[in-house]
Amino acid sequence: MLQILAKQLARVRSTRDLRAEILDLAAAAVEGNRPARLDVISPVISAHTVQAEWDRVMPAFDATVRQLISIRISEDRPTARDTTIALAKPNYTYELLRLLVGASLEDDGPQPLAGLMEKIGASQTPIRAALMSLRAAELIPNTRWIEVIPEQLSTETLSRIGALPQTLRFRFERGAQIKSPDLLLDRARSLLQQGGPMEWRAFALSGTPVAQMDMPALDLIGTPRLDLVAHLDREVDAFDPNLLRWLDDGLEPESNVLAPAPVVITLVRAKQEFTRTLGNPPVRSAYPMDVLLSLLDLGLRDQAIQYAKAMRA
Amino acid sequence: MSRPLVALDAEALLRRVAARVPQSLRANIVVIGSIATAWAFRDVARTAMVATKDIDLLLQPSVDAVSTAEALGGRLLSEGWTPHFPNDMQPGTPTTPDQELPALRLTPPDDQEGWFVELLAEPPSSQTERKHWRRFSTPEGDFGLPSFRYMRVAIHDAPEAMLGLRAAEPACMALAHLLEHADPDRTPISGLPGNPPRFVKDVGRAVALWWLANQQSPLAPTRWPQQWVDALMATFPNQRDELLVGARSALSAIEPYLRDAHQIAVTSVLAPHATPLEAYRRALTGMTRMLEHPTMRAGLPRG
Repeated sequence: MLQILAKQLARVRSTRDLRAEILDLAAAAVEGNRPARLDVISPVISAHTVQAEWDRVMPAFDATVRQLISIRISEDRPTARDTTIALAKPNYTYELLRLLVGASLEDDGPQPLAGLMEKIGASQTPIRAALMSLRAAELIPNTRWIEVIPEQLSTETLSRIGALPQTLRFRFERGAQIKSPDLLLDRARSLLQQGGPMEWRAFALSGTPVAQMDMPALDLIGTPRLDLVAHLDREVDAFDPNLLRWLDDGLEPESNVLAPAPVVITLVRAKQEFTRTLGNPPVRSAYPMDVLLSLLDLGLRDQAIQYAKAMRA
Repeated sequence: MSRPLVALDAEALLRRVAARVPQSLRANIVVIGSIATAWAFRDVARTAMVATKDIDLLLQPSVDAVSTAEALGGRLLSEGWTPHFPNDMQPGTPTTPDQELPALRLTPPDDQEGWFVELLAEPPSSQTERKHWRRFSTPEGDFGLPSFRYMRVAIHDAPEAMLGLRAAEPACMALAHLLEHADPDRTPISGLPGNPPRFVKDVGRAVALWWLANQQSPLAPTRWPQQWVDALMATFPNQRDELLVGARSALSAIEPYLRDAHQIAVTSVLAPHATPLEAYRRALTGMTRMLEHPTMRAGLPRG
């Protein structure tokens, strides 16, 4: 689209200064023969006065100039939604454990270290450190026999060895119309189907709906929350919370990890991406390893154990 | 005449209106405005109720609009529908200038709800002025058939809603509102508190339609750009780029008046939703951002 020329005018104090900026804006728009916008930010004179002066000046311009120029007055300060969320470095203990859970659910036996390093995309040092953590917690028999039993996992264990996933939690901001988890799930399914927006290509559906698709007999009723997995390269250092606007425009980051959140995103930083399509119509969905870990995060350990057994059967 | 807004059931109204329109004329009519909006978003509110009092019937094609208005107006009048007039106007005579003719607003017989239909026309492709009046005659006298210059965009690809009667697509109605106010119409609306400029109501309606569309489907931000481009290519193929710039100007113009626009919207198409001002503000931001969608950018000159 024709690039708009945006000029910022912060804390303008007089209509004289404003008029000078409007004239300058009009000249720039005509010179470049392109639309131009004056962004008036936190004016000292009232927004009403700014608009009134703009309206008063406009008839002085030719209609072709008026078509090109516009004004935007903003008295708002940036909110939490406007700023990106800084991401910590990948948690390699979690990434390693996740892949080992996956191997176990596929009955794939002990995993070679080189293969794990390749899938995670990390060097030997952090992976060996992660192995030592798993060994210390007796989740693997030794550092040469790399295999876990998912049924032995619990959130307490994961917390103790520092293998909790990186999660981003979202809540409905004050005054927003609250949507049920089922409605959020419906909307997520639309976004995760083929032809969904590019911006959502990193996401996959996880949690209880996927568990129930894999195992309809799973002891679960309803959807406690919407779980998503986001596959982000380990070099990515920020997450844009505006991506959640696609789901609902009233969602904002929830910083309290103890507060219930209607939407939880688990970040996966491994180099190799594991997703699949499930359901009709097909929806991009998380692998069983991510689903099982999300069940644990939800506090549904019994169901996680049922799920692990069913997946391995 | 200023009547209070009433809550109407869009589905029932469409059925009643369709039943009264001769079958031969239904293909020439597109329902636009609040009722078309309530119909399109009936699944969002879990109801098709809408706060309005007028049902806008747009007659097309433009070349036949006068004869359609005369046939439809004559039919409804003969069935006991009664015309009513704003500001104590009366039906025109052959000597009344076109611009002074009243629009034809008809209230159904035995009406308990206070609603009426209003006839409008698809604009001729040559229309450049904002509003154009054409005279048509009925047994009650002469009336004016208004056409707004971007209404062809509003009714583009309108799907059938009921018994052969079509209802305009929200995306197309929204675009028509924005195009109409690329150069904002600042005429005060006397019937609304504070007499806001006309563009505040219309552009604010476009923002409301965008909010509703996003409530209905999270894919609205990918669908609307295509609908807009399709509508523009079908109606103003040589002006697409400048019209999109104009649409952006209209959205910029509404920002200082957002509170007023929100207030108007929550008493009309957003009445069933109690949309908060902050959500409405975000809808404006989202709609402005939509103009940067790749579908819009394709084919536009680079700055």
